[in-house]
Amino acid sequence: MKKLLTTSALLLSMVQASVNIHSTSYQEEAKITPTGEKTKEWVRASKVVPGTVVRYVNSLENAGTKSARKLVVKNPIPKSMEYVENSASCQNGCTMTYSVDGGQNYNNAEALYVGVGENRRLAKASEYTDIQWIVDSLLANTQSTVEYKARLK
Amino acid sequence: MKRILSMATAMLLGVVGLHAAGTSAGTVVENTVTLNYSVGTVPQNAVMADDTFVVDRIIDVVIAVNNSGVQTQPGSEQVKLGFTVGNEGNDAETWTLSLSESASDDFNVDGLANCNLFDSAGTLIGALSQDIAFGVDDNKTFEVACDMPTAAKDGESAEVFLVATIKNRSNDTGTADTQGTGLADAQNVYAEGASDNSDAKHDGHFTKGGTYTILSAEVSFTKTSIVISDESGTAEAHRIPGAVVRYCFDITNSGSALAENVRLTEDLTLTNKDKLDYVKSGIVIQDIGTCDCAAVTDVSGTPTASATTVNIPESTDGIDIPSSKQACGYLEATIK
Repeated sequence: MKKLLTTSALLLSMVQASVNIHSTSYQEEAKITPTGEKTKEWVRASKVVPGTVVRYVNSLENAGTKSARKLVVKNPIPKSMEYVENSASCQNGCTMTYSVDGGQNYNNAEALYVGVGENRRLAKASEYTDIQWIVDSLLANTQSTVEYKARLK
Repeated sequence: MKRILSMATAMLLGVVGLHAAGTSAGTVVENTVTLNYSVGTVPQNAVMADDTFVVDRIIDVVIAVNNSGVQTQPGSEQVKLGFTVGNEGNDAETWTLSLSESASDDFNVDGLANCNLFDSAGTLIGALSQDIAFGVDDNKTFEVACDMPTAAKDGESAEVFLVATIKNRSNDTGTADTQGTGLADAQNVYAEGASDNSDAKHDGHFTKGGTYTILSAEVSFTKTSIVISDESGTAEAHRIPGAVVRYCFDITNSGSALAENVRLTEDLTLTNKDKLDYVKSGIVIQDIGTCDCAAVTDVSGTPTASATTVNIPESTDGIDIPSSKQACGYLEATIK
């Protein structure tokens, strides 16, 4: 019995550490190619001023030996930022929902309302407070990303 | 009237003041993300991650001119041009306000060093240049007062430029980026637009021009004489003793401004005192054309015959000659 408990604890500790998440912010930077063409590329966000659009990439990595299921990623939008409409996405299929009440309730963009009574209306993207991605599964030794963009107020 | 004022205010704000500075420089923006998941049917402990950067300092200023084309006269002193300067950045800044002049206008003001800066209350701040502290989203109204040269001509214009230059902030654009952890890590990003006098964008200064326009009277004066009658009573009168002569005065204002308090003084003390007795004088304002002084019927002056000096008109206020008008006057005398 003691051996069984020890084995279970070991297994639990192994699966607990199997999925990691990292968040990285990027901003667009103008570049000129060797042929003289103007282009833009995403670089680490470090020179951010009001109006700058920041791309947040949340990377999921399953370093374990078992598949992870029903991965729920919740990302409150920083207070100084406002969500850029239709910018949330995921790499390998997911369900995306949004909140306007600080993450207490999530819903599709088409069913997300603010106000009451006559003032009730669809929420603007800039009013979103949180984003939630639900990824069905992440196989062992694989990676995936979910991301969104927000503009600094 | 109220509506017009509101519209005018809105137009002004459209130039300066509507742009919100946004999130303050040095603000720490942290994106925190939480992951919950299961392995099999077993929920695992939540995993968190975050990413942090510091909002950088945007260096931006806008200047609007409030009364460009101000009309003035040659020799006028401390003529004021109004400007509004707005700090559009996301941090408090000191902007150095200075002046420069156009190289392609008609004249220069009478010494840039003589120009002064006044605040919105009309209080003298001092000669240009001046370091002025601005808060975030701070707009200040100033008046720049300069002297006009006496040689400036009617219709000419001079443009002076108010220049705002950022003080003690170098541009970090193009330098190594840092995400930072606090206000000390905020980098400076020049963001002001291109402006007057070929002032390029993103160079840490902004230039706005205002114009002085000279409106002056351009007065020309001629004096002639005609003989009105003589004692022979013939149609062809001659300048013989007893004859009546008229001195005709043609004063034409071809300038853009009203010539005020124009007054002629006829002084005969040196040559003609013992040869003429004054009779009457008059003067009228008419459109510019021929001054037919024999036809002037105005008799507004009645000098004594023995006077040595006669003023036309007699009133010490003189006469005002509007732009593009002519004063046609006479002084009538009898030859002794």
